[in-house]
Amino acid sequence: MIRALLVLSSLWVFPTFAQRALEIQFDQDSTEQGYSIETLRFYLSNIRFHTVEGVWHKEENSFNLIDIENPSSQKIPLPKDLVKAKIDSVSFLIGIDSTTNVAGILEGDLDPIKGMYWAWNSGYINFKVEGRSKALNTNFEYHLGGYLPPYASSRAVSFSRNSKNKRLVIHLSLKRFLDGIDMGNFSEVMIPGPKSAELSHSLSKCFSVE
Amino acid sequence: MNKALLISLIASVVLFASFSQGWLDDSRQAQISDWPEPIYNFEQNPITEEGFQLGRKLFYDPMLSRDNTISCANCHLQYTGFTHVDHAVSHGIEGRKGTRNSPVLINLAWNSSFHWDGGVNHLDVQAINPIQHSAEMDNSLETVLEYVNQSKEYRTQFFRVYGDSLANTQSLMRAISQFTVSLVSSNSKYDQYLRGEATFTSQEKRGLKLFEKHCNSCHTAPLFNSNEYASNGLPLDSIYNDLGRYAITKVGSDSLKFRIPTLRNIEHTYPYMHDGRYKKLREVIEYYAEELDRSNPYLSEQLNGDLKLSGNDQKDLIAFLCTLTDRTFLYDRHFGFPN
Repeated sequence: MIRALLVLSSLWVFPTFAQRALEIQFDQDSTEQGYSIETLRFYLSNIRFHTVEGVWHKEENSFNLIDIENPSSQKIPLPKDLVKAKIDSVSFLIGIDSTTNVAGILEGDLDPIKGMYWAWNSGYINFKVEGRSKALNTNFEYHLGGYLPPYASSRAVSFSRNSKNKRLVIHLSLKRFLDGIDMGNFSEVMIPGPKSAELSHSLSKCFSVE
Repeated sequence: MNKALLISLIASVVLFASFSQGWLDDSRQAQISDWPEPIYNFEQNPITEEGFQLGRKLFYDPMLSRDNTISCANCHLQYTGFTHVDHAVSHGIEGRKGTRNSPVLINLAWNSSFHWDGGVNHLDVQAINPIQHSAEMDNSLETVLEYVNQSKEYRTQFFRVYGDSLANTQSLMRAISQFTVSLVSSNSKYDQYLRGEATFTSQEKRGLKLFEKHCNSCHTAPLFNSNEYASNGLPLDSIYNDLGRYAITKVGSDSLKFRIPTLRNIEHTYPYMHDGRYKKLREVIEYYAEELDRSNPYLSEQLNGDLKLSGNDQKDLIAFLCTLTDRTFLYDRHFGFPN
């Protein structure tokens, strides 16, 4: 019997909209409940992989800004020692941990120039989605973040997966997230606080891994 | 002793010395020898004379604002403890007004957070605020970086300090901190009195006693501040509806709390309070002694006690507060407009 050797080289982050790949300013949904999406950016950090051998591997310097306008950001190279490994679970943080939030001025994906930083209430915006609801005829902006208790907004998630899968993909179902928001009553969140923490919790339920 | 341990101990001492080297001149270093350890992380951004000069140049450069009219120094003037004397709230480009009194820039190395509401958690990310704020410089980091990276002088300086002639957000912000973290005031008459280099009048001595009894628990010597937020009982201002720390934490008990600022150089940093509502030090003392509303639910515990000050007591207290003026700091040419 010939066994195909499973070779994974990258982790893909794949925001979807009702099972379809998300495209910016594309008419996402032709129903009356439709949305159009103009901005989608979020951090995935502290990505760790668990192999069937029972070992955890950590991505070095694991701060990844995923930006729907920058397709290369959706492909995260795997640590070299994992290329031939069988990964049965993946865990990561949606957003940025509190230690990094107080570490001063940082570079790369954590550079405040990336537009994912609040200067007046220093700290990272973990997740940002902006667009328009056609049904409500209103624009929406949800900027989720803040690291101070009791409204810390980063969320740790963990997923097991079938290690025989040929792809390693993190999915985000954006429609599910937006459908869960009472958009008529509040169409924007721009500050840390209870709303940001609440939406961050529901956001964490919209991720999955295959 | 284990030889390796000894070597690593020596290495760490030498390393620490090199991080703090250049931060302060020898006389200031001696003046702060009894002070608490600074909070600023010098390891991330070792202060050098060239770094200080780069930061000083940026601090005094009006090109950082969108219409090239104001620099950091517009709201932070050296002779008045790096605040905007006589202006209740900060002023930005095109005469735009902010909502709070421009804070002093004194002994920032010992601050764990910044702004009246403590929203900024590290000195190196503070300057993003005035650069971007629409009522201040109304500029973008991209534009400022483009400007410094097109300047031959700045490119040379950034290369010398950070090893890369092209500045990024990190090196730009750290360069500004090189200057602001060096603004150390430690040579007031009070400091000289403690060191036995100056004598207090009997009025100043009485004022010191009153200060220790009534004020020092919040404005704690030697820095005369606390890295904390408290309500001093001032009613909500009618113009700005500024709830202070609550805007940052969204925790109800933080309503109307503001930073407990340093009182060093207080004689020269008028007007007072977070919104500059009092023009004279006398009015501030009168407020605490006579007008304080103890039924205010947000009032700091420290202000619940007896704070009776006679007219003479108030004068004595002000006499003491004036001993916190540090002329070597206010007139140190090293901190002034670069040549």
